[in-house]
Amino acid sequence: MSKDFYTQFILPFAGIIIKICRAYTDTEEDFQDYYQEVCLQIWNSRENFKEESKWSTWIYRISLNVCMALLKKRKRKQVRSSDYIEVQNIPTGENYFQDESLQLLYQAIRQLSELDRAIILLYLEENPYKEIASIIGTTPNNIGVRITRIKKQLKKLLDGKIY
Amino acid sequence: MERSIENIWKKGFEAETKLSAPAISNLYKRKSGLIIQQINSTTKKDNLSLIPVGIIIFGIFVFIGKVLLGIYLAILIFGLFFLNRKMLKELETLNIRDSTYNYLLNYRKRIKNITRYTTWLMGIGFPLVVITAYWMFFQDTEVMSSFKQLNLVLEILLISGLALVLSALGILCYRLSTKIVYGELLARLENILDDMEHLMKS
Repeated sequence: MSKDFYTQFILPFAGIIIKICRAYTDTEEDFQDYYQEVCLQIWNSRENFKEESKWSTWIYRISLNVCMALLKKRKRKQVRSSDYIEVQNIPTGENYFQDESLQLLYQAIRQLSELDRAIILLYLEENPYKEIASIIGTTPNNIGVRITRIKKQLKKLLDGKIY
Repeated sequence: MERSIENIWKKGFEAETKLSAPAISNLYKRKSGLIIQQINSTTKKDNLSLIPVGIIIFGIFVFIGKVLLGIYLAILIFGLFFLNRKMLKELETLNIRDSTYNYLLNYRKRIKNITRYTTWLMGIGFPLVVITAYWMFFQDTEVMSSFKQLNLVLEILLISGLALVLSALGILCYRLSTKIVYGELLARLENILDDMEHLMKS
């Protein structure tokens, strides 16, 4: 990867990558891994970028795809290495954020399915339903329904902590 | 007042100062570490698989009454196992405190040396082993006595031809299996080195 590419095309969007990677990782070590993999994937697939969409949409798309793929891979490994998974042992993550409410929100987001995490992150980043639908590969109506359901789920998870 | 998740997100990130991106110089460090780990673990598994192969071959030849041949092949296979283990241990002696780029360069150099050495070994050793095993297997049989009835020139030609074919076959099998087992990992290692060189030049 060239330094120029990183500085011009990745660094200005590092916030997006960081926010997404944090939602899929529990430790600083994993976060560094995911961040690095996303950057390298952006670099490797830069030639596939067609200017039909915004560069930021491209970054969202790659970041989410990479994070979901890595998380799936990790889960498969965990299943293989352990006969049973302790379902109740939900990782809470380290304190990445100064804002306590944000920290709690992230903990709740990490308890959602991979796809739901992607949808809610895109929603919270104020992407229009149409764009979220194009990134996820579904219809805007479906996104609307899912967001309502995810928000209810998050509210339940955060009940008594923030609300 | 009820706080919506949208508000928590917005306000939280407005005040957030920990959103600094990891340094680019560290970008390849962990990735290359993971690839090296994968290559090392694959080579270890690959080498360990020689043990059951040696035991099975020994068992088969003992079962068909060719004990000496079984011992001979098992010794050679276990010898190959220890030789590989020695070469793989040498990989671990590489200085990991060196810069990532230098470490990867040295690692690639050692891997290439091992590949070159094993190619030679397969090219020369494989025909020698197979011809000797063939001779041991058919010793005192009609196959061997009819072979001995051929004139010397034809015998030499036949053995040389067989040795050449076996040599080519050995090298081909080694290269093919290396490509199947390590091809993707080595290609990733090459990509990282290319990227790092590109980064240093830019």
